[in-house]
Amino acid sequence: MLSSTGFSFYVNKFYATEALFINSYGEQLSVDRIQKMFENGKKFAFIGYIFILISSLVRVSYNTAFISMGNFFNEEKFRLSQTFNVCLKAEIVFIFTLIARIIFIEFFLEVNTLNDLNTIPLSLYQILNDPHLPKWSVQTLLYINVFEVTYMVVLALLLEVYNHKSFSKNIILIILTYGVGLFLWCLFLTYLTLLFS
Amino acid sequence: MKKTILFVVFTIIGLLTYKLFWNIKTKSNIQQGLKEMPDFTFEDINNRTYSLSNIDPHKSTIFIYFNTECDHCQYEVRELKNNINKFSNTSILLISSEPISIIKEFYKNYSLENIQNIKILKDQHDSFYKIFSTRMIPSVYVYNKDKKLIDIFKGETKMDAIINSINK
Repeated sequence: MLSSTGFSFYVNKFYATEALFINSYGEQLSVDRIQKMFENGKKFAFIGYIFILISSLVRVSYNTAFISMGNFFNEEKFRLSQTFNVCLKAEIVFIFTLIARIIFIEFFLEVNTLNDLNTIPLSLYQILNDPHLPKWSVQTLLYINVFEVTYMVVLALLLEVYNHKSFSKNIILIILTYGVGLFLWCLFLTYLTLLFS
Repeated sequence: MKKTILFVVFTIIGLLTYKLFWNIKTKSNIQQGLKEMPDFTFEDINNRTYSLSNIDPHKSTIFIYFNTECDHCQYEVRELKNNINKFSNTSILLISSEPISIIKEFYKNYSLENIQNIKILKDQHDSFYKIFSTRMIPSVYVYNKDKKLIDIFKGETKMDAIINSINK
């Protein structure tokens, strides 16, 4: 949770400059409106940080809920607190995601617009690198990345410690629970993008 | 019992996915159709029908989907008013899905009645979404006098961009 907030702080501090805002929105918005937007962004950045903390907590709870449902269907005697603990520990993978993103931004990416900062290295979106991709597909393609796969593997390994079942059984459980949850989240984001684009 | 629950859950997910892809296909077809000015029917503030046949064939036309409460839309309308002399050869249609009483009030507050080429219209039965396939406000669609689509702007747009567009 703190790492996500830290990443957001890093981006705001070192990259989200007025010039980048102008570069991103200059074609459509007037400079005074961009400046106003930039100033408001700085002024209310703390709300963004609070939101990131809350959304990280929601994310862990959401993963816990889906995996608990899987445990229920598998008739596993697994306490909710244990599942929450596993999900929280597995979140360490996302710290590596953020480190990878910082390295990618610092050394491999030419940051021209704010959109560039959203890129996740080793995601399908970055691999395809096609500027003509439909808007509705972008979020889903960003979610298909090496770190999400690693997260699922780590979850399965941690579950193995608790339930002593084979890795293959646990990874199937994770795909059917966390994977389905992630799929539903992508559907929701795609739906919203379609509605407002 | 558990198998039944799983079957129901995965069937719902399957249906949601199917519906989403159907929406994507529909949106894509609608967007293709927008290259020519689509047939539309809205209502003006006097409850008279305003449709494709009312479009002036000698002028460019700008459709702006807006909401009277939205700050970006208010800014857009203020800017339009300030630059209205640059739109002398353009019909501007402001379309909102709010109740007619609210639209009338906005029309009055912004003194739009004094401007000949701005028409404020009421979107009925969600027809703007059905025709243009967006709920984004403000959305700007620019057509030339041959009723060909020139540009689409989603969100607040500076006047220079719209003026460049009508001059293309």
